[in-house]
Amino acid sequence: MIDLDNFDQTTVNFDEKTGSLKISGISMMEDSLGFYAETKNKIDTYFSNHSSSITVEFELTYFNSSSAKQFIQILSRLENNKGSVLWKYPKDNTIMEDRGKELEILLDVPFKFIPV
Amino acid sequence: MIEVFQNIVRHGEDVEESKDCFGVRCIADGLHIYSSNYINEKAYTFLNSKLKEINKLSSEELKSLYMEILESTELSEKGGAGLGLIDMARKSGNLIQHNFKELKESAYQFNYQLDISSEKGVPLKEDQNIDILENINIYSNITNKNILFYFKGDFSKDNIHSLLSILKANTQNDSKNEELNSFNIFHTGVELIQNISRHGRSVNEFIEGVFSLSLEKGGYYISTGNYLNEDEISNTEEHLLQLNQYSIDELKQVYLQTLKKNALSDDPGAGVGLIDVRRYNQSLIDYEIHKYDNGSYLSMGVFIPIIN
Repeated sequence: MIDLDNFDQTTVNFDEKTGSLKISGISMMEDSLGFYAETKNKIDTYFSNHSSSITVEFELTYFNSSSAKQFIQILSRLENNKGSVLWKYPKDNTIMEDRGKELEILLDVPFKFIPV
Repeated sequence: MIEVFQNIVRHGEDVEESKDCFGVRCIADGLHIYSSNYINEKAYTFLNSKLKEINKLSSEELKSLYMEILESTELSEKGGAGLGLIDMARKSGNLIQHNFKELKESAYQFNYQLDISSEKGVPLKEDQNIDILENINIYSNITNKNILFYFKGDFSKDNIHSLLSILKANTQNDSKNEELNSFNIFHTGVELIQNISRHGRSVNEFIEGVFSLSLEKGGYYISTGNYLNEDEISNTEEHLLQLNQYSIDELKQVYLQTLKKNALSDDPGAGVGLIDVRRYNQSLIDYEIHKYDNGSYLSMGVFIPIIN
C-alpha cells in the first residue's frame, strides 16, 4: 500500500566503499531530476575511482513517471557489466513488480526480483 | 478553519442521506470558510438561537461572554455552550452568515459561513464579502454533479501531498482489486497534478489550475484545468490526439519506446505520464483546448474504473 505518512520519505543511501546503492520508500517528487542528480554524480565518481561493480537495491511502494526516467539514467550507468539490480517489491503487488520489469526491458543490466 | 470543520463533526448527524461539505475561498479582500451539514432538531434549536444571539453582540460583548463561559463549569461533551461559535465570531469581526434548510421533519441542512478580512481586525465591507447564498448555490451544483472534491488554486507550490491525501481519503475501496484500484487513482492524481505544475502557464510564479474528483457509475472521474504556455499548445494537442488513437495493447510499447527515447534528455519530465494515465485506466483522455482572450485553456479528464 502507498503510505500517505511517508510521501516525502524517499531514502537514498549509497555506500561508496561497497558500491551498494539503496533507494526505498515512495519516489514521487516534483523535481526528480534535481533529487537524483547527486546520486548520479556519486556513481560517476565511484566508477572513476573503482573497477568493481555497483548493486542497486530498490524497495519502493510507488514511483511516478519522472522518477522512472531518473531510474533509467541511474541504471544505464551500470550497463556493460558494471552492476546489477535487486528489485524488491511488496509481496502480491504485481504493479510494482511489472513496473520493475518494464525498466529491466529497457536496460542491459541484470535484475533480480524479490517479493518482500 | 479548524473550528468550522469541527463544527460539522460536533453538530453533524452521521446518517446515510447526510451530505456534508467544507470549503474555503480566498478572494482578494478576505477568506471565506463555508460548511454545510445535516443536523437534527436539537442541534437546530441550539445553533439557531446561539447564532442569533452572537450576531447581536459587539466585539466587547463577545469577549465578555466568551470569558464568562470559559470560567463557568457547565461545558457539555460536545465542546459546550457555543464557545467555538463565539470564538469564531470574535476572530472574524463579521456577522456569522448562516442558513437552515428544512429537509424533512426534525432534519435540517445547516449552512454556515465565516468571513475573515485579510486586514486584521477590519470587518469586510458589503461589496467585499460573499453572500452565503452564492456558496450554497456552488455547493448545490457540486452535489448535483457528484463532485467529491474541487480545488482551484496555485499549482506552483508543493501542495500535491495535501491534494493526494484528500484524493486517497475519498476513494477508499474494499474491492478484491484494492491494490490495483488504489494505484490507478493515486497514480492518475500524481501524474495529472504534476502535469499542471510542469506545463501550466506561470504568471508571477503562480500557476493557476483546477483539480476535481467526481463519483461516477463504476468508478471515479478526475478533471484538471490549466492555462497553457503558447509554445506548448500544438504539441499538447497533437500528443493527446495521438494518445487516444493507440489501442490498449499498443500503449505498453508506446510507454517503453517513449521512456527510452526521452531517458537521456535534460528535460525533467519523462513524457510518459499521460501514457500511464491512459494505459492503467484503459480510458480515453477527454480534453478540450479553449481559446480565451487571456490565453489557451486546457481542460482534461479521465475516467478511472473500479475493478471488482
